[in-house]
Amino acid sequence: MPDIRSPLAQHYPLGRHGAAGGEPTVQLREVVGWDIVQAACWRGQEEALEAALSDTLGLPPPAPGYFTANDATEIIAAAPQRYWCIAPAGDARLAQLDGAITDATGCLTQLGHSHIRIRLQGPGVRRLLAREIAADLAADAFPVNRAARTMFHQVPVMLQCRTADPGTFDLYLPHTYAAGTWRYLLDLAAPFGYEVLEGLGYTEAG
Amino acid sequence: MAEQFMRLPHGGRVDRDNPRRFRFDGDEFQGLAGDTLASALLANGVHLTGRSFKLHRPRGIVSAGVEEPNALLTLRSHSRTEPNIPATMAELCDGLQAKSQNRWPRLAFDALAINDLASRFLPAGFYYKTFMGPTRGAWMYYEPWIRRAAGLGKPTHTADPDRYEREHAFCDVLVVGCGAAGLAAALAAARAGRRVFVLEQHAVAGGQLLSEPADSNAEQWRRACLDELTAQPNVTLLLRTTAFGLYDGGVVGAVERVSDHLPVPPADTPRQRTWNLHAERIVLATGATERPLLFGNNDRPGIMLAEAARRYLNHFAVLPGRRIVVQTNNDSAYAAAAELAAAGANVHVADTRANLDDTVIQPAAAAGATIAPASRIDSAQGYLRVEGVTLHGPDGRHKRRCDLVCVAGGWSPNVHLAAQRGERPTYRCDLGAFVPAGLPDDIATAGAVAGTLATADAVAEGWRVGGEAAGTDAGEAIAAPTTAAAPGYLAANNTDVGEPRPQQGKVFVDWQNDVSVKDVELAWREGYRSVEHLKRYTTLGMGTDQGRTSNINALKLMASLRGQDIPTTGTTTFRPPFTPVALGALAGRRAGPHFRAQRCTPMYDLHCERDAAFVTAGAWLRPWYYRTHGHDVDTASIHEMRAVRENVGMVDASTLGKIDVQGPDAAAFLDRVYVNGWRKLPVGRCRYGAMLRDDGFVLDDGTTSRLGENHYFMTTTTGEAAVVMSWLEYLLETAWPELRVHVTSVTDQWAAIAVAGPNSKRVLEAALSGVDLDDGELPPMGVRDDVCGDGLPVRLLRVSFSGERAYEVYTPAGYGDALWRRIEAAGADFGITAYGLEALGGLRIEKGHPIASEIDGRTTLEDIGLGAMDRGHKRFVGDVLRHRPALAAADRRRLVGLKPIDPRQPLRAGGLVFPNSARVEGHGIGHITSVTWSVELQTHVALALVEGGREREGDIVDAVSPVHDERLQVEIVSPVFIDPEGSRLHA
Repeated sequence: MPDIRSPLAQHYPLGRHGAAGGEPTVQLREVVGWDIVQAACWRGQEEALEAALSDTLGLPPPAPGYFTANDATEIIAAAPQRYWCIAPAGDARLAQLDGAITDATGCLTQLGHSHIRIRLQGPGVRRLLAREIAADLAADAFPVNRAARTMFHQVPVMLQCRTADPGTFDLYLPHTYAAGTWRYLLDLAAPFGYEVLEGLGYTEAG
Repeated sequence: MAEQFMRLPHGGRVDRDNPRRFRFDGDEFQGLAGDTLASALLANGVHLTGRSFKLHRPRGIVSAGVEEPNALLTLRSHSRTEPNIPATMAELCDGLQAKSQNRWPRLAFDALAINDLASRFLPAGFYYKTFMGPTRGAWMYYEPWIRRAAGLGKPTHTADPDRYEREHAFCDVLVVGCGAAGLAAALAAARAGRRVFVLEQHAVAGGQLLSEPADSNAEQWRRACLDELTAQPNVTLLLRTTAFGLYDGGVVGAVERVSDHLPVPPADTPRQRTWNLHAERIVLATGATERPLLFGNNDRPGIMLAEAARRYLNHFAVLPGRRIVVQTNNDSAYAAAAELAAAGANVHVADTRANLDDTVIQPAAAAGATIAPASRIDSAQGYLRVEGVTLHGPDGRHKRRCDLVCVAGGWSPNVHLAAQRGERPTYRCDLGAFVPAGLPDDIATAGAVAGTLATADAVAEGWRVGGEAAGTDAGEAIAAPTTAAAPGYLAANNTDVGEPRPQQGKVFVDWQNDVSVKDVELAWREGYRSVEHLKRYTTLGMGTDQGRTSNINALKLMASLRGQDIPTTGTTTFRPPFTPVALGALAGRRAGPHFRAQRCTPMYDLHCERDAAFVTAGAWLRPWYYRTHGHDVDTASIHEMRAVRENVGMVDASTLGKIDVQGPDAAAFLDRVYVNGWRKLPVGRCRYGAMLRDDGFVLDDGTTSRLGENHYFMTTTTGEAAVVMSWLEYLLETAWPELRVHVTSVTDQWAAIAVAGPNSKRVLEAALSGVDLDDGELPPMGVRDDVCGDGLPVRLLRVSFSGERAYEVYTPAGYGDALWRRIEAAGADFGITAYGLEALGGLRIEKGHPIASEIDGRTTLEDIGLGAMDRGHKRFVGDVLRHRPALAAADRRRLVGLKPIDPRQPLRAGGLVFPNSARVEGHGIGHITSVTWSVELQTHVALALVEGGREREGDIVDAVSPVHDERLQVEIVSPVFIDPEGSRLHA
């Protein structure tokens, strides 16, 4: 199997940048080695889908606008009747969803290559994201385990809040928009001072 | 360097330990940190700052804020040049360069001041009357000369080097304005624990409190409030931030001038930042603006608003004149009169009112000011600076020498933001002023903007409103400061605007636009009775100041001319922005390479390595051609097209829209959205389909593959992918919610490469080890998911866009780069050639496939030759309206091919088609949609939409490009130029 190539590969300036040489307040890195399967159900089959997800992934499906997670698996409420199920690439549980969710309940769509995942961390991250995202990202308004489909520079993205202080967020960028949006993100981050770190494996990302 | 000879030795809020040097029209001056450019100029005795817009009359500093109509200067130099900045809002920084505008050769001697002498020939709208003849196009000749003679400053033509940003912020309570009322409101909300944003447009918060002396009780109160606010973690105070727009949903647009007060913005620091503030509740405490009064030559430098003079005195420690006449029609001017007199000026107050309240005038009198009731200025004398006035009182007329005239014509609440929500303000006769009306529940007003001018009342109102906005009862209000200023609203019956018909001199209503009383009267005589018409005819109220000092006086004049009251006459419409906003601030970082989101295929970096020239297609950057194949697009694309026709080529097809369609009702769903049927499509096969809008016109086309019993893979055109996706979602959510179908965009999930040409199968067999490409396994219009020997997953479609044997190979996006390299390496032995969008387009034109150029939203199935797809067996979106008579008319433009009689004559896309030798007039009988050089036929060819369509095959017509003055003969032919039988698909 060939290696998966990130669209950020040639646009990944490791090290510290911006803020006229000051201490970085934002760290950015790509999270790799994960997969997404979208699980969707027909109207009236919500309970059946939630039960299948819970049984297969060992996680309760989240309320709208949130995600649930354990050590290696996450479920994001991506849209009404749709969940993103995320696990390490090759994790057998994602494959098991195929048997757990029947045609009578809903359907599965492979989306593992459709997005690039960026982790942003640090005291400046909320204001950095607020440069483009028209959502209230204050710690009490967008708490840990909150997720939102929103827009970033006209691009549809998924945003997760992982820790409150310092803020840690994961931003999912569509694959084809990822390189341009990443470069734009770095440009926005310059006043904050930022550090680009080596890519992080999904299981290390926690 | 000139001395600051008008700077007082003590007082003010300027930093005397930090001098600032600056240049004005090349001369060097000194000011202090904390000065504005206006206060620094006044400290140096400079009142003359510019020439007027049309008549080139000398003009000076009128105000101390955003309402400034006259003192507009060009700041900085080279690429940082910025024109039309009010000197009253420009903070002084070391090395600041300022230039006056609209004068030649210099400010004190302006050759075009001759316009003033000829002003009787230059009334409002003169250019529309005088410069319309003698021919219809004459205006085009005059316009540049008129624009050169009039106007404001000139922008630079070089790129702005500075950084701009945008930011969203959310709060519970947003307070706009940081005067007494705003401070009280913010404190009330902050003490209730709410997230509070406070905006102040100046560098120092305090509003009208800044006009109070720096050692006053009001100053202590101001500082205490600010100390408490800035210590609160739940409060964000943004200084130098102007709210320019109030929008639905509690959104306020504001610009923060982050580093305009610095010589050059520090690295990585923006010059300005646009805030999109989202507030649960908004308190508008935007204050009020003082009005001027009318008299002859009321625009001379040295004539300023009384409140401005007081601000310069108490905040900047500048005495703007030594011999001062104060003209007023209300009480508010007496604080200025008293304090100016106490500072050593000779002050004479001319009050238009006969009966004056002793308690109001006593402090001024005690300070030495003389007070003349029932007295008004008839006209001012002087040219470059006011030198005296003619006063008209009970004792008749007499002249009085002066170097400063302070005018106080009452106050206009700053209703602009509140009125932007669509509700016109209401005129309160008891105040003689318009106040906000009809505000929604989430917006409240406090202080002068609401008509509450007295400081104590404003503080109480701010406290109450701030508490309400915070959702709590704030209880007893904080103690208010004592101030010297008396309320300045006019009594109900006081419509006195001054002396509109003086014995000498022009009387200006709108200084910035050179609109005089006579212009208003002329507009009325010519039938412009509505204030909206008055505004457009005279330009009154336009420009950078938006008529803040002129609108009410003009309204009073118009009301008087119409014999109506002011409420009946009404106001003009208030629209954002409240003050001018730099385009850079609105753009933020969305400029240059980040102007819009950029979309790249998974193989983008690889195309760069191969020296592709890129073209933008919507958000996509697509390889246009490869420079290794030719020195220009024509040479390279012909090389690439030939490779496909004669051998094999590969193209990045990842931009195709891709939609995953799943569900037990998927086939029924596709039957409804596509013209053609899908229920009988076997698993493992794909089909070309077309879908219509509900108005019967073609929306899009593409192939859809059946991957499983309930699973389809739809492709759309690149340009319509998002439209089709939204359309499908819309139909499922609204029209057919009962269908058990989900659609998901998988455009980003899959990379796609089309391999086309006679050797395509051989190349893929070599590239995709373990994948059976035998025609039995993958026939034309076949589809299969497979995995290469090393585990690379692929999805293969046997479809062709070029007419040659071809395959579309899909793989998950992260493997796109690997797949390309693999096919490229395997194809090297066959001489495979990568091709770009230009060659792709040429190949499809030769084959007669319509794309967006032909499916342009105005064509029907029949127009593009796809009418046979509708077999009448089923219903589908658009099937009713597509049969409207007009859409079936015989003279509709339909798809044909064109070949020039001279094969080497290129055709032009967008060219018109006319009957042979017909007069070129109107739109002709058709238009050319797509053109290319046919490598196969060795001739230029084109697709066109022509009346009568293929019934005209064989006709000779003219292809005309009026823009290029070209006309050439072409033959109408079939749009399928090559292989109409489709035999090459099986080659």
